[in-house]
Parts: sequence; structure tokens; C-alpha cells
Amino acid sequence: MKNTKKISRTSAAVYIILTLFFLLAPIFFKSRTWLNSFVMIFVSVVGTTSLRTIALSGNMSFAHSAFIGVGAYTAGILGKELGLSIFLSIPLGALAAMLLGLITGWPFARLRSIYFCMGSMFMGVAIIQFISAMKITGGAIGLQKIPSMSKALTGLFKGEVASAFLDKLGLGGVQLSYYFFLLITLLCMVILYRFEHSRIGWTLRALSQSPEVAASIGINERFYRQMSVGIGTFCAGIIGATYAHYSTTLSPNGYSMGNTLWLIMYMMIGGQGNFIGPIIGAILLELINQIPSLLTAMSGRPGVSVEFIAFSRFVGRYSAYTPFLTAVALLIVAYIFPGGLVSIPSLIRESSKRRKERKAVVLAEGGEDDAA
Amino acid sequence: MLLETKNLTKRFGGLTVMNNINLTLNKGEILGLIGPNGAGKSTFFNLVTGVLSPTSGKIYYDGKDITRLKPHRVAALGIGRTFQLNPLFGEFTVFENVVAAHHLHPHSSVIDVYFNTKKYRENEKKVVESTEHILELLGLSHVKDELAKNLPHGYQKLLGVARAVATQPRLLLLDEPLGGMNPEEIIFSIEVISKLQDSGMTVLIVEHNMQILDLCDRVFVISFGEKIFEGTPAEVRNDETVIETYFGGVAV
Ligand SMILES: Nc1ncnc2c1ncn2[C@@H]1O[C@H](COP(=O)(O)OP(=O)(O)O)[C@@H](O)[C@H]1O
Ligand SMILES: [Mg+2]
Repeated sequence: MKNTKKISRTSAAVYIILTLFFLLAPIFFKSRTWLNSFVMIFVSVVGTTSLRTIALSGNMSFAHSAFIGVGAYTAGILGKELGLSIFLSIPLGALAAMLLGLITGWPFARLRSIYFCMGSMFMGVAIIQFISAMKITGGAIGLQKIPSMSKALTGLFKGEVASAFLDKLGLGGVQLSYYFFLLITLLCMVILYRFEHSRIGWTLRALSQSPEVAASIGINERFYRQMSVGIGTFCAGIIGATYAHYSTTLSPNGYSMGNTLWLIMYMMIGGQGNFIGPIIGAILLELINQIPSLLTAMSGRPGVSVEFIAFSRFVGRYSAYTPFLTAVALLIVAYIFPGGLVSIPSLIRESSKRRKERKAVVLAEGGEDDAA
Repeated sequence: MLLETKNLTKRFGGLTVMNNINLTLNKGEILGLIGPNGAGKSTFFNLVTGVLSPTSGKIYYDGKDITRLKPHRVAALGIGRTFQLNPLFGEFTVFENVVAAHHLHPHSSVIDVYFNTKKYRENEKKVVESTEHILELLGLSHVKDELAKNLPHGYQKLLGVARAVATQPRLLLLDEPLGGMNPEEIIFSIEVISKLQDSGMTVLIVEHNMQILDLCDRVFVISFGEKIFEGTPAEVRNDETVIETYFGGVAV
């Protein structure tokens, strides 16, 4: 049975390595630019994985970034206007995204294929337009002066002993925020992983294969679709809310449909078939997306060679081609590794097995020749 | 009486495909629903299981009005079904298909499932046992790890029945279960259906293959949405109208 199958050793190793890498990253990457890039990766990882949770039942939501935005704006506004602590505003942001997800998801739960796509697409666009039109959100200019997470977190370690302890570990506000972000990310991953690998995820897969058969064995389509939408938009909301307090400014552009398209791209290139696919896709592609800004930041440092600056300018100029290159990457994946990037190890394993078999055949034939 | 329809009528636009059908099904019997292609047999199944809603008329199951109930609710009341075109969870193995069909029984709440509670784990053990039992009964044990989409046609048909049986129905609706099967598979399937009846299930079968008549306690014949005959299998074989409309004048 799929849901009780033990997690494969390779994926377990990858999960552990990734977690360790991001846990230790602040030791090796001290600059804020790097940590910012990692945080963008976290947003993409949670965004992509939670989008895939919704897609498990067979429907792809094009409104997902808008729900990240709803979480972000709700938390931002609650923190800024009502002065709520981040420990309240972040969960409330997540709940707001989930609530909106469930309300809009209700009529959509019966739609399939292009109807669901177009419906969710326009719903997403509508949400962003509402955000841009409102006054309390700062409109098209964006929301500024959101209470910073770094202040809230350092505030937790008052007193000389605690702050001395932080100093000793080299943990400033930036690092604390980074770790808080990592914690939320891991939390979402655990929630979503459990969801998919329980019988619920399995029921959703059944639904995606044949809604009519699913109904005939007693599966309530709307209930299960709503459950995946609820949990998916909750995670989208919580990561958006966390981001709001990390960056302290928000702009509606950050949550437009274009962003959802990127999330879908990460998922397809990484591999849609299993949990780890979108994680790998999001990390790799978001990292590539971050290269220009990382290079620019690095070339601003003193003592950087002229060649490096020229190189960084060159990359920056050509970053406009990223969408094109990503489309090419998708084509390559579709033709060569239909299971996504994560299917490469198993493809390699298979081809080496086949090579060995062929060698064995050749040897056997050679032996016969000798005998003759 | 387990199932009863009263003046069941279904129109698609101007086309009446089911006209005032009063069908009753007694507990424990096997009723054959037969009729030429396009007579409205599959439509009847879809009306009873809530896939379609009737234009007029009522459907009672065990004395309860189930007209216009949603398909998953109908399933929960104990009506299991197969489909004529036999869709399956193609990407699941045979075993997984039948496990999935234990969605209703034994019941685990979503909370039990998500948190993998003791109750859920015990239920899952029961599901595995029951699945193995059903696969044995349907002769599918030796292909249980095959993907459903890779099975030969006859096995796919049997898997459809296995899935319906796994919902622990009191009433089982089979839409052309013998369609496309070879003679051995037909004999085996007839045996299985008779075993299901022995275990207490009431069965309504739509079938073209006349071998099914031997299995039926009663037969209900429709043509163009109208009832044209109701009686025992022996009577059907001798009825002039039935022979005329259905068998094209050739006695069987
Ligand atoms: N969804 C539908 N829309 C319009 N006509 C339909 C629909 N479903 C079935 N029909 C028509 O109803 C009639 C009965 O079909 P059906 O119940 O499938 O017959 P049977 O199963 O007895 O072969 C046919 O004429 C068919 O074309
Ligand atoms: Mg039919």
C-alpha cells in the first residue's frame, strides 16, 4: 500500500542533507543578501509544495500566489494597524488565507480541468486587484512599515544572560529571523508530508483518476477537495505572513498570477509525481533566479575584481532571458526526464543496469566463440 | 423489499429514455435487467445511484426515499455498483484499488487518519485482511501487484466487481459484468455472483449474455425506456414480445 510504504532511502538522505544545509547556512553565509535569498527559497518551496497538495486531486490552482498574498497582507495589516504580536498575526494570516481558500473553493470544488483553471486564475487576479484597490493595504504602492520579525524575536531574549548567549552564538536579529522562517518552513513541510502520505492523500489521488468511481465507493468529492484546498492555502498563508514580517514591506506585484506560474514551473521541472520533486525544483530554480541579485550584492563589496563586476553585470543584463531558459528547461524535462529532475537518479540506475546486462550478454557470447 | 422505483421517468431534452418504470427488488434475490442497446438500463443504474436525477418519480431503498441523493451518499447507504465502461484507478495496483474501496468501512475519521491513531492502524489491518479475502474470492490474488491499467480485460471487469464488493453493499448493481469476457471467465463470474448472493447480497444485473438468465430469480425487460415484461427466466424464454423485440424473433 502506497500510504504505508517506507520513505525511500535516497529521499530521506536528501531531506536530511537539505535540513542540515539550511540549519548550518548562517554559519557560512553571513551576509544578509544570502539569507534573503534563502528566505525567498523557503517561500517558493512552501508555495510549490502546498500548490501541489491542492493539485493532488487533479486540479491545478492558478490563484495560489494570491493566497500567499492574503496571508502576507493580513498579517502585515494586523501587525501594523492593531499592533498584534507576530505570534498572533502570523497564524491569523494563515487562517485568513485558509478561510478565503475554503469560501472560494466551495463553488470551485465541482469544476474540472479548464473550468477550474480559468476560474481560479480570475479569482487570483481579482484578489490581487482588491488588494491593490484598498487603502489599508497601501494600494498599488504597497504596504510599508510592517513590524519587523527581527525586533520581535530579539525581544524574546531580554536580559543580559540571554543576549550574551545570543552574542556568543553569533545570532543577530537577521539570523534569528532566518531560523524562525526555517522553522515555519519545516512545520509546513511536515504538515503537508503527513497529509499526502496518509490515506487522505491517497483518496485525493483516487479522485484525480476517476471522480465517478470515487463517488461510487463513497468518497465525498467536495469534502476531500476542500480539505486539500484548506491545508494548501493555510500553508500558503502562513509562509506569506512570515514573509511579511521578515521583509516589512509588501507589494501586490509579488503575488500576481505570474508568480503562480513560476510555482507551477518549479513543480513541473522538479517532478510532480512525488513530494520531493517540487522541493528540488523550487530550490534549484529559485536559486538560479537569485543569482543576479546575489552577484550584484557581492560585486558591491570592497576588493572585488573588475572581472567579477563585469561578469555580474553580464549576468544581470541577461537575467531577462530567465523565462526563456526556463521554458527550454521544461522542454528538456518533458522529453528526457518525464518524471522531472528527481527522476534522474532512478533513470541513471536503470540505464547502468541495462549496460551491465548488455555486457553480461556480450561476455557470454564471447565465451561461446572461444568454445567454438 | 430492498429497492423500489415509483413511476421513474427520465428525459434528456425531448428524448424520454425512461418512462414510468416501477421496479421492485426483494431482499436476497438476483434480478436481471435486460433489454436491447439504448433501452435505458445504464440510465436506470445512474438514476438509482444519484449520478443522474430523474425528471419525475421516486426511488426508495429499504423504505427510505433516496431520490436525488448524491452518489457518495447512496454508496454510504449500502448500494455498490460497477460501470459498463468499467473505469478503474488505473495508476493504482489491483490491491490498492480494492483498499481504496474500503473508504466507508471500517470507518476511520479524518483525524484518526491524519494522526495515524491506534484505531486507524487497527482499521487498516482489517482493510488489508478484507482486501485479501475479496481478491481471493474474485480470483485476483495472483495479479494483486499489477497496475490496474495493465490488466487484461476480463480481470479488469472482475476488479470492478471486487471494488464494488469492498464497499460492503447490501445491494449490488452490476452493469454488464460479463461484457467482453471469455467463456471460462464467464463461468467463473457467474459462480462468484452466486456466491455473493449466498453471502446475503441482493443483486441487480444488467446483461446481454443470456447465460445470466440461469442465475436470475426474476427478470425485468425494458425497451426504449418502457417495461415490456417481468417474470421468471423460464417465462422470458417463452414470451413472444420479448423474443420479438429483444432476440429478433429467434428463441433461446
Ligand atoms: N447523458 C445523456 N444525454 C443524452 N442522452 C443520453 C444520455 N445518457 C444516455 N442517453 C440516451 O439514453 C438512452 C439509453 O441509454 P443507456 O441507458 O445507456 O442504454 P443501455 O444501457 O440500456 O444500453 C440512449 O438512447 C442514450 O443515447
Ligand atoms: Mg448500458
